Amino acid sequence: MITVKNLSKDFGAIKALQNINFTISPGDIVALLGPNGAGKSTLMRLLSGYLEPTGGEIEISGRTYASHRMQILPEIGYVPESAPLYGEMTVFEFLKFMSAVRNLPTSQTSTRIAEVSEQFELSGVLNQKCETLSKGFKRRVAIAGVLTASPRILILDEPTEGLDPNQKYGIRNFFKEYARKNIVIISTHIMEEVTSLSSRVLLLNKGKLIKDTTAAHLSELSPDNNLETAFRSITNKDK
Amino acid sequence: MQKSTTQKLQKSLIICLFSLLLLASFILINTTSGALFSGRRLDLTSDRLNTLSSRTEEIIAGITHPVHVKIYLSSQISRQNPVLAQYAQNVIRLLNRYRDKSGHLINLEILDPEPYSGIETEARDAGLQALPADGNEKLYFGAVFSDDKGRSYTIAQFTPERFSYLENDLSRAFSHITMPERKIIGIASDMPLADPGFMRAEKAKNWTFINLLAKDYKIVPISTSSAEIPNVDVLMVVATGKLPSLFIYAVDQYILRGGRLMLLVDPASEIKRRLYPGIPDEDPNFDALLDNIGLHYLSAQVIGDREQAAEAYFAVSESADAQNHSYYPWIKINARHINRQSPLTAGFDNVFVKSAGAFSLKNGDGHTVESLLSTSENALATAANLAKFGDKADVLRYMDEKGQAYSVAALSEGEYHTIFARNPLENSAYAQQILPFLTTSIAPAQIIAIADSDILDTRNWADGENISDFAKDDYNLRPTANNFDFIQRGIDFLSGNPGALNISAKKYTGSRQTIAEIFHQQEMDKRKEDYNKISSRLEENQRKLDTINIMLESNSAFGTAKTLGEIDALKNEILNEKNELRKIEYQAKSEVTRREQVIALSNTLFIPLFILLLVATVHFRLSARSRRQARRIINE
Amino acid sequence: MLKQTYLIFQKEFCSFFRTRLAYFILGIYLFLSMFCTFYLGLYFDVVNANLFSFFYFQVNILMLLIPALTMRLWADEYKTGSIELLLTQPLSCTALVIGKFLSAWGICLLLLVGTIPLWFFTSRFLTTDNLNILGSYFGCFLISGCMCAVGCMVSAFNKSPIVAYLASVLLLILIIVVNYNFVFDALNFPGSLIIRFTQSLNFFYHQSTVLNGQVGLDNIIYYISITVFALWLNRITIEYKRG
Repeated sequence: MITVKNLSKDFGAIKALQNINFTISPGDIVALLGPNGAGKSTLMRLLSGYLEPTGGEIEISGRTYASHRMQILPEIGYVPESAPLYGEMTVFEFLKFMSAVRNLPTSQTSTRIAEVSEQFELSGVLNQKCETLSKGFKRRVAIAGVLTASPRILILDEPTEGLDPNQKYGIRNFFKEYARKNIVIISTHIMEEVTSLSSRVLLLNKGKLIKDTTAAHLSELSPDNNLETAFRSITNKDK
Repeated sequence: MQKSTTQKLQKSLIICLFSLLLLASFILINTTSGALFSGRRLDLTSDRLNTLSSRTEEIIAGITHPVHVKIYLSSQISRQNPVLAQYAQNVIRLLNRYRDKSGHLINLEILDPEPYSGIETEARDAGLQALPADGNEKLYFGAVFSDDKGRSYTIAQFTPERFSYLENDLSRAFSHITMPERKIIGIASDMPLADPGFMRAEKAKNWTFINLLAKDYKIVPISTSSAEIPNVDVLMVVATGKLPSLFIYAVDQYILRGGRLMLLVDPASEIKRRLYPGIPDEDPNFDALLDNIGLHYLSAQVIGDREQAAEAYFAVSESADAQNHSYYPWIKINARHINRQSPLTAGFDNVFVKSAGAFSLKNGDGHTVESLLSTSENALATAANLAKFGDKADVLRYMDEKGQAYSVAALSEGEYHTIFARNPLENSAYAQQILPFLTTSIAPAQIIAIADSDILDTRNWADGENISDFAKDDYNLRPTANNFDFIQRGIDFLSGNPGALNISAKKYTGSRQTIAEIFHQQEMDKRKEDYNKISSRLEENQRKLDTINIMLESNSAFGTAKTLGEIDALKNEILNEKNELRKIEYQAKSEVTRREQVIALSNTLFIPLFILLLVATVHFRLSARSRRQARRIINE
Repeated sequence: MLKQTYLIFQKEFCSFFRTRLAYFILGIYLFLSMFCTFYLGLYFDVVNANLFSFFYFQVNILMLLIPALTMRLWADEYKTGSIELLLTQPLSCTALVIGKFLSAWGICLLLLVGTIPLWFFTSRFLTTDNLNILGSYFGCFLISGCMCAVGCMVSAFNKSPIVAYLASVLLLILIIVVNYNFVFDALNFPGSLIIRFTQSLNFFYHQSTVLNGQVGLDNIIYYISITVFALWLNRITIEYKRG
């Protein structure tokens, strides 16, 4: 369970996020929606513990980063937008490193790597260096990396970018499956993804949370019952 | 927003403050640990090169007022002479140890005597010796020790050859500053040893010990025709032949007045025959005097020793080729036969004597005698004249077993009687002008008697590539035997100058030789046979030439055409032989250079390649293991 | 914490080899060391029982190469964005800082070990002063630790490895060359006790004793304090950048 209270983040004079409040429970797939610069990535970074908030707090299972950082982090799996890998490592080495870092017992490492490789169709590239991989593979490797230790909260910034339609389909199914017991938070501006995936939409604009609703509700706000139209009208109105 | 900016500012401020605090504690910790621990360091050198001897510590403890040490070190040295630059670091580090130990009464100042600067003039005026350098520049590396009372001491030049004596030299300089005044050493000899004119002569290179002693003492020559020893702190007599009996009377009376005497007698002085062939070679007439102080002198006999013999290059018979053989009269007295209990000889490794005489000791009434250097239990002896005039093979052939050990040097202390039944000057007018005749001691005397004069010859106790420069620069010596240490300690002891008492040289188990020197030695060893052959031929021809020249001089006659022809032929041969020697040296040198080039190049290229290969192999095996692991997962 | 440090150490240490940087540095270091020893250090012509020719240039060579080793440790993470990945893993910042530092120091150890053939080689020609040489190696190791810590710290300030390299070299030169005695020389301050205090802040003073067979507690404290100071700044920088 994630509880966000009065969260705000400033970068100097820029107010990236202001006064955000929401709660997410297990079983939720939450889509963070918003135009560029709305503060989606910043919110994800705050949720993942990479950035420290300027104000407010994030509670994860009743604990805050300030007091229990090392207990919270194993529960979080965060893949940034750029899906960074260590280029000089092979995929296998990267997955092994991630599972070690995420405290997966050594006895389970091989099995778990085999599982995620199969899940994300990585078997063919296990011995390939990360830097030689295509964009789609890189993203899948990055997701597989954080999934080795099965985190309870998965935070993914634009997770399907660079994937072909088949891969997108596969990965969305995986998220749906994974979110049955866990929390999945994704940020995206692909409306189709929001519709197909999420149980909940958090619409951000200019650092503010302007809507906390479901995709279906959001679509209803537009005359043609279209999510994209609704998104445009809400965000443009705000201008 | 204002709140958050304030928060951030506060955070920055805290970090800055904390950093400053850390910086302050860094300074505090290091200055404190520096003050506490800089005097106490582990000395990791196997020969404790960075540790000062207890004698030095005593000298430092004796420093009660500030001593200023100005080290003149040309900055160009590091570029032009890396060996010296390396040594300079050693010297400065050791001086720092002195300073730390002295409670900072010693002030060190390092000055760079740049060419044509005021500092250069100052250095030159203080007596520093310049080193040869590129172009017109002069490089300096020496030190001037001085105090507020105007006393000063100069080390004209520090040279790496003196490495093992560095502490000795520095301590000597400090003790000199704290010492009241220079004592006077009188030197009398039948050889022109301490004559003011002789120092300029080429022969001076054999008598370096005088230059070295002159650093600490005032040396005055004393004529052997005097009937009374003037007021000196120590009298040194080197008697290789007969001395006027009046002089013996003077020495006798000097002893009875509580004199301090170092007496060197020699039945067969090799150095005298080499340097002064013109001086008549008669047996020394000191027997009675020596007998009187408890030393029975084996008159007209030269001692030999199988066990401690050094090697000489000669032919055992006319038909045989010359080569190295043990030559018994050349004795390298080793630690087993050096008196370890006496402060005069403790810690010595070896003392080299050549064709020495021998003493047997007997304690007498009122005085004690102690042997300092001796032969092994089974000494040999032969007639002094044979050793003087015969060839080496004959000397070896006619050496007799003596079946006992003899002393080569001894210390006699106490009171004595005169050896003269009556005053030999009794009825002369001269008797009135000198001190009255004594029959017994009025004060206890100290006498060190040594039965060899060759012990003094620089060639017998030091070497170095530039042996010909010894006269110019006696500081360059690299001692091979403790001969000079023995003389110096003896003089220090007799002059009652324990402040300057010798600190024994550091023994260095790590090699003090450079690799180039070792290679050169190896190459020369390969060519030893040829080299020795030619150099003995050269020596032979040189001797022949000298003999002809002396003959010509002493007969003051003109040479006949035949002798002139002979001289020319000899000169030609000598020239050829010198060229041949030079050629051998050149060959050795170019071989050394070739070896050095090969080693340098192969190391510079192969060590990196070898290590890279090694690391790459390990890396490859590890990544192959990881690849195998991955493959296993794929297959499963 | 220990396990985390080891994981980071292992990752970074291996990555030096995976990126071939270790080979590059090792090759250059060994070549430079040997070249300086034999051609500039007059290996054959100076007394080398304590490998003087070799150790004489070590500080300068290490000063140029260690920043190349440390330049990308943090700068690259910031440049590629992998810092986000790293800092959102259950790893403490201290473990990250120490792990990365140790990996660079480990490479330094490898560099120094790589020169041991020279020691064996020299001992074939002459009697080497082994304890002295061992002490000098220890000194070099401590010095390289300081340099690694400073390099890591500078790397954390920068996104560009090149800037990190140049800045580290500059900072190291500053640390090594500055003689703090000048403060008191300038003031014409008499008293050798002051020198005794300030000399303990001079890098060269410690270097010249440690590399010549004299090791004291003050030397070790000096090097450790520089290292700790730099690593602490490194940690602060990482934390500060997280906002």
